[in-house]
Amino acid sequence: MFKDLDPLLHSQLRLSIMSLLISVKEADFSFLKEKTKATAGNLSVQITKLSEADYIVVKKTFKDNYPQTSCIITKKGIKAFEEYVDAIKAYIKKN
Amino acid sequence: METKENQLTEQESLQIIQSMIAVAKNEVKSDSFIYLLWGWLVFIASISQFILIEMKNDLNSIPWLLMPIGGIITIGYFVRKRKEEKVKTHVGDFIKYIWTAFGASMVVIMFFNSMNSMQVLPVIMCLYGIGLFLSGGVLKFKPLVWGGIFCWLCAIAGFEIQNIYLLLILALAVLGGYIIPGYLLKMNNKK
Repeated sequence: MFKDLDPLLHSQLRLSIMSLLISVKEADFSFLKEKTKATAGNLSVQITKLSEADYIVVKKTFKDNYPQTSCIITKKGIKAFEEYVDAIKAYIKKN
Repeated sequence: METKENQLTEQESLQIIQSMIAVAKNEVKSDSFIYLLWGWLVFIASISQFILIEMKNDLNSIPWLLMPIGGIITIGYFVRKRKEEKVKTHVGDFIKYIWTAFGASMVVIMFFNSMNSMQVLPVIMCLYGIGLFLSGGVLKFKPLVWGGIFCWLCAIAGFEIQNIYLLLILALAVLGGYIIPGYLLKMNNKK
């Protein structure tokens, strides 16, 4: 099993969220839910964890009187994601 | 999707990253609607004005009233789209900047130039070329890139001609620059 892998990213749903956010500028909660096929509750929990680590920024706004949550990856998040990918690449090379 | 905490293998991790990036990549597409809208509006206006001039009709500029209508439809379209937008991409943002710059240049040229209305048309075709070439490049959609090049070639022809046949060249420019690539984009988006 891995050593030195960021435990925050080494989870299926959080890694999915980060992989989506690294590819776009900003994504709605509904977009993340649709693409990851996660439940709203689980997604919400994982987003909070990523946000607490400052990997992402969560923006809460109103669109047509409905609350809207959108997520943006931070510089810290990009760096963590890149390091995670490098670690995986190194592991695959070794084996 | 269940959260598998720390149970991923490296292959699974890589697969998640690849599949999610591929999913996000599909969001990078541009709507064909605006290309088709403006393509057809300019095509109809330029051909109609040509016919009216040939018929010696003094009100031959009237077809260009379609342009403000196009402007209103465009604004309405983007307001609606903004409400429905679930994701913002860097490419999408860049395309917005390209066409905003195009629109601003159009306004400056239309309202502050001292050329006659025919002389200005090749300049506008050059602007079409810039907008289409850059959009096609950033979208990696070749028909728009070729459409842009085609508009520049039409502009060269336009600078050489400088008479009412310029209107036909303009119609040709939007046919090759907007309408044909617009339909190809529409087909491409359906795939």
